Amino acid sequence: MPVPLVRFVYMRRLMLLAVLLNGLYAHTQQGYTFNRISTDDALGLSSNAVYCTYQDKKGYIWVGTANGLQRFDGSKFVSFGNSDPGSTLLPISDLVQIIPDDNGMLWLFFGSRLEVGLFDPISFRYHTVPIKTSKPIPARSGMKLWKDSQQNLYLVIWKFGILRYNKNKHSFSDENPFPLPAGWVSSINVFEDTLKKQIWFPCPDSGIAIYDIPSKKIYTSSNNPLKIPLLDNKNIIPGTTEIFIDSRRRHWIFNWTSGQHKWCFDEKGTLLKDTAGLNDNREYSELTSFFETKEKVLWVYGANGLFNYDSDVNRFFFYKPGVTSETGIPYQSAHYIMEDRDGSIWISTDNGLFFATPESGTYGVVNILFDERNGGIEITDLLQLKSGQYWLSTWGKGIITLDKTFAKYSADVYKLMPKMDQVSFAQYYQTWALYQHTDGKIWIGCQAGKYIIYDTLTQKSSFAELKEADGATIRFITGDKNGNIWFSTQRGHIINYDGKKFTVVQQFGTIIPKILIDNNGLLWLATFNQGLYCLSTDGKTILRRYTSNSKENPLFINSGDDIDQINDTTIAYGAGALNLINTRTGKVTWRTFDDGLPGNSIRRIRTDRNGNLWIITKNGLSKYNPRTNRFTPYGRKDGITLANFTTAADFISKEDFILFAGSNGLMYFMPSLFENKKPPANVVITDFKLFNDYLPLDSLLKRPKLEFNSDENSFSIYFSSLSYSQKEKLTYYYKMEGVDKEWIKADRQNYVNYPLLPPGHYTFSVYCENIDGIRSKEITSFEIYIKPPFWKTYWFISTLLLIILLFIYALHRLRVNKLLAVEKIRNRVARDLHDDMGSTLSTINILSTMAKSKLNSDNVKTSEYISKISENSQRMMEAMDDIVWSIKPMNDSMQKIIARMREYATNILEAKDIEVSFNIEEEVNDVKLDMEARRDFFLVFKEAVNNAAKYSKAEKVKINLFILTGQLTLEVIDDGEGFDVALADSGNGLSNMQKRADAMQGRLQIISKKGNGTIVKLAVPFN
Amino acid sequence: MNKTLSQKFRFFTFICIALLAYVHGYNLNNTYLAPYSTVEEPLTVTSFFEYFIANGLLRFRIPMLFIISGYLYATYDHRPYLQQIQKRFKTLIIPFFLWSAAGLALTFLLQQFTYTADLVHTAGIDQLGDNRPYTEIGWEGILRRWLLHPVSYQLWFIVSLFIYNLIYPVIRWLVVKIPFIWLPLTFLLFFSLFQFIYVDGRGIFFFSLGIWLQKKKISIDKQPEWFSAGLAFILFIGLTVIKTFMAFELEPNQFSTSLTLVIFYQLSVITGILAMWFGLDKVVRWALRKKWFYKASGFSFFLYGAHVPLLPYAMTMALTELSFLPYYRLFCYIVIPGLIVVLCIWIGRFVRKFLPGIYFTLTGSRGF
Repeated sequence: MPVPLVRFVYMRRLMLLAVLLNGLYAHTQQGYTFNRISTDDALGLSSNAVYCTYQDKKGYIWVGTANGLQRFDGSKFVSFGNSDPGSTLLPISDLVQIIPDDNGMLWLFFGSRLEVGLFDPISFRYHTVPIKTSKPIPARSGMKLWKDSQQNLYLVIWKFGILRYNKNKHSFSDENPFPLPAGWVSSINVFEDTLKKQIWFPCPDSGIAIYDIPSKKIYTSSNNPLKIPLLDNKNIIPGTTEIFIDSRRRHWIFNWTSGQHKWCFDEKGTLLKDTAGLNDNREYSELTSFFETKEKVLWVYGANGLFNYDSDVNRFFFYKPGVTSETGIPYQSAHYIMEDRDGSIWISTDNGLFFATPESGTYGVVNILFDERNGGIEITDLLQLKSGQYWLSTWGKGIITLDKTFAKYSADVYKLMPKMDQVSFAQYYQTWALYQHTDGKIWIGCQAGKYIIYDTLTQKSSFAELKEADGATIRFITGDKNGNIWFSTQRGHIINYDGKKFTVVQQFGTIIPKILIDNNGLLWLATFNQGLYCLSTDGKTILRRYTSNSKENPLFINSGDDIDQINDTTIAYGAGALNLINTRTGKVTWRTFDDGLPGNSIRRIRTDRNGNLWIITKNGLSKYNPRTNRFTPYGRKDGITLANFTTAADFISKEDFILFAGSNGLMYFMPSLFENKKPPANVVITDFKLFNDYLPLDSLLKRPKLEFNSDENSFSIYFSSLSYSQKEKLTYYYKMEGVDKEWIKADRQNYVNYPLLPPGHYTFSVYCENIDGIRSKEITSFEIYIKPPFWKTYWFISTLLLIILLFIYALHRLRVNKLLAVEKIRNRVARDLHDDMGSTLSTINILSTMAKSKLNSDNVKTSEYISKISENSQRMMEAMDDIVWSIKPMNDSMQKIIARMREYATNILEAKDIEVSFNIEEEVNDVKLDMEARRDFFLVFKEAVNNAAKYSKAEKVKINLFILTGQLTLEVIDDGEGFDVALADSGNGLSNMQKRADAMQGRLQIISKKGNGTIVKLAVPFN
Repeated sequence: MNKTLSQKFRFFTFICIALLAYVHGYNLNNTYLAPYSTVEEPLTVTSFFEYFIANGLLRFRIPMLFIISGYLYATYDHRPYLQQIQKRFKTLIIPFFLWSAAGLALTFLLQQFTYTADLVHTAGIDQLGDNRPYTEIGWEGILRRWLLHPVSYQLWFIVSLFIYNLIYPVIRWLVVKIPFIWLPLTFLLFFSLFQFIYVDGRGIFFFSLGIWLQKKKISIDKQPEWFSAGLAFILFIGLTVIKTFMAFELEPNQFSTSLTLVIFYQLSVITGILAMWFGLDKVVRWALRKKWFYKASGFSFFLYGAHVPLLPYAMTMALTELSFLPYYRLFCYIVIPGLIVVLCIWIGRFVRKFLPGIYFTLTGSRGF
């Protein structure tokens, strides 16, 4: 609590007395100023029948209504539940209690369903908890959940007993946790005295029973070894229904006999008078609940009754049910009171949800609204005398003189009023201006140029008329450092009084409502429709004039009501908007509605000791901090209810109170009341909208990163610090790393749109700052990842590149292989030509030379040579034929190979009278052999047939060609005489066959025995 | 073993160990890169390059070292088992304890000065995650770090190798008798990243493969006909690039992501081994003709034992002191490991020259 507030509290208490003593018809706001939230506000409250509230650790307010559970984030209510018949989901029904579990879950009690359940506020899952009793619970039994300090949960059932929640069985059962005497049944309002570790049971039919937790014993009037006084007090028995012990150890006990009786005792059982005010309600009421705030403010409430204890006057303040006024609330039944983490009070009623900030309460703003039934009071000026008293000038009711405690004191300004005509008499009561000179005399400006000088020493008044004013009303009086007194009039006179004579120094012909003498002694004049004047210290010279028509440094409008000095170089002129005039440069800067001013209709300006401007506009009160250039509005939430009435006068007292007054209204407050040295609560992301769909935020934010597909890229992010009292006074700053380079000040809607974000990683961060520039402790942030479409990912692109690279490389290899293949063919042909033809040609050459040499001498030899030449040339032709045949692409097909094989075998074998037969499977025709394989295959066949023809002496040769286990298989089978394979000459024939088989990666088998014929078997793999 | 093979073993042993500095020298936010690790930081030249090198391109080294070890062990397995184990104890286990102690001593020394103590703490390489000064962790903590969880964390390899040597007769029997069961089985272990304390599933496959190659007399000194070095290099680098991009772009903490990354990682390792082993013959011949390289390669084991914890501490210091430079992380990653390699070789030279006994013990008589 700031120190000045102590003085303020003292002052406030006396203010109430003063009002009472003076007999002024006034309503002072004794209690809190409540704001109502109802179904009409479009915030989404599902029912005006609100039963309970609970604020979770994040700051959300959970609300139990007649239509089930809702969550409030300051901007909207979100409903949870399901009303399908027979559904086991969270019911939409009257939720009368919300109690936090120690693991973050919420216990919910649905009154009319007699259902208790557990709700997970993160996953939004709900399940009922069974109530298992040995006997049926009577119909219409009142029930209440209650949790003790040891976190045990009980279900207290009226006229039945107390059930305890068994964690292992996950149900409520009648374990009789508190052994009350037989026949004793507690009301549902059980109270635990945590200090003495006792639980109090008000048993309406029997009395009070106290369970001592350490000893586990029950004490009653008949068993009272500790001599607890209240157990023996017969006044509070029978019918005891409510018990509460507050922090001052006052024991509040209510019981019913003919009606509800309210008692208050101290620890020793002495009856106290602190129930004063509790019986102010003449109508039927039923007070059933108590609540004590962190600031020790006690609340008592129930049906038709809501009270808070004002320790300043030691009595309860009664909030009359059903009254709608500036300070009243229209409830019939107050169901539950909760204090949030900012100290705001939330009251659940049958007519909506009400909340009030701590500033609006006992230690807050004082609003005085005068009763208009006697014509009202039009306050025109305020003055605090050097001696501390307050004087109020009024139009028609003269001067109201209040001492520094606002008590009326006798300073009858009009006591020695001379006789005069009725008009003049009335004009002296039509006062407009107040000024106390350094000599202590008070100057009072009145209607029609009249004025009063009140001498505070002699306590006598002198009545006069300022002739120089020409009958114009004196609107303002002030004084300069030299002792001069300055007057302004309704017709534009500026009149100086130097202690000897009055001098008219200027005449502007318009209303001059205010003269400001700045620190340099210059006179600044607020005018009606003529702009702002700056006069020399003697008032005779117009140094500057600012108007709305000026080309350079125009005013917002010409007419202004008030003017004040902020610092040595800045004058604030309230003409429509706030016009800030730099006295050195003459530059005028506007601060308007667009900058946060509640309205471009300034009526009053007052600078406090910290250099902040307190501004009254037609739209209420706001504070302007020239250092941060920020306006902060104050309204009903802050306890400011009369700003629209207090537009005529302002004052700052020696105690630093800011006072505003006007038509029937007066309010005052300490500016420091609104200072907040604590950092605001951390910002919470309240909603996340993807395009137009709200996402389930709680489960979403549990993830380390929010991930979206590439087409899910337009977001709206809503945030709030969940400080309901500071809501309008916080400034939010956000940044989306990856998009925003700097922190951006959020607009008043507290949300930001990010449309069509490109794929990538982002981090959204937000924090808030209160009006005193204090930031929330932590920056709230979360990561967002928008996945690129897979075809835009680098891995996909690099995969494509790899494939392309491999393809190019494969093409390259293909080309190289082709070149190699050609080269290989050329080499092969060259080798074959060399091997097959070269040697044969050499042989022919030799033979022909030899034949030539023997031609004339040895015909036989010559003939032999020629015969050999013929054979060789024949073989060469065949070899050539084979080479050419193997190279020709047209011979690639298996049919061609088979045809050649047939031709060859037939020619060779039939020439030897050997019967030849071919068995060729159909599939063989589909086999493809490359050029070399084809040649090798044919030559192996040729060799085998040749051998059969030459050596086997066979009669039959059978040639089989088929596919076996994926291999092209050739069999040349003869029925000849056979040979011993082991002893066979591995001459060129067989070894060549083997080499060719190896070249084809095939397998050659020669199976033969003498007398059994021969089988040559070649198996060749093929593609 | 012919000369070509022997030279290749020497070359790749040194290269694999020298490149270890670049595997251990990355300075990404993620301080432990597993095969399936994703990168939780923006894709930049620095982050890409470091991940590409440290968790991609150079990951063929340890498997290759296991193949070389298996091959060499199989080459000399005609020696008596106990004699072999005794030798391995001297060449692996004693150096393990000595290098572990040296790492602890260096860390303890640095913890005595405020500036260097901060470096040690910031580097945060303690294998038990407790980076308090050793004066605070007690003797039990120091013993655990010395014997089981060395601050020189690279030493796991020689312990793992020693265990394989211990069970070599069993592995050899499995490799020789049932290679078509044993090798696929260990291949699955390799793919599954199986690891149990010091028994590394990835290692046992490659160790077995080395044995198999030796026992089957499969020629590995020259490029086989079927092999295309160009194709292998394209696949190796391509798969590593793709895997690196995937590490940045796939959804982290998903099984599918981990599986994909592991598959690419292992394919990259396999193609990397093939590409490097068969594709760098000319480089091997060139390098081993250079005197400096030949000499430097003699310090392979000293470099292996000394580079950690020296490298992480030096890297932390460099990152702290050079943060004013543009691309300082990339600069540090390129420069510091290289400097540490050179420094270790120079220290090795010094120790070998002036304290040959200590060098002999530290290296298990390698490099003489």
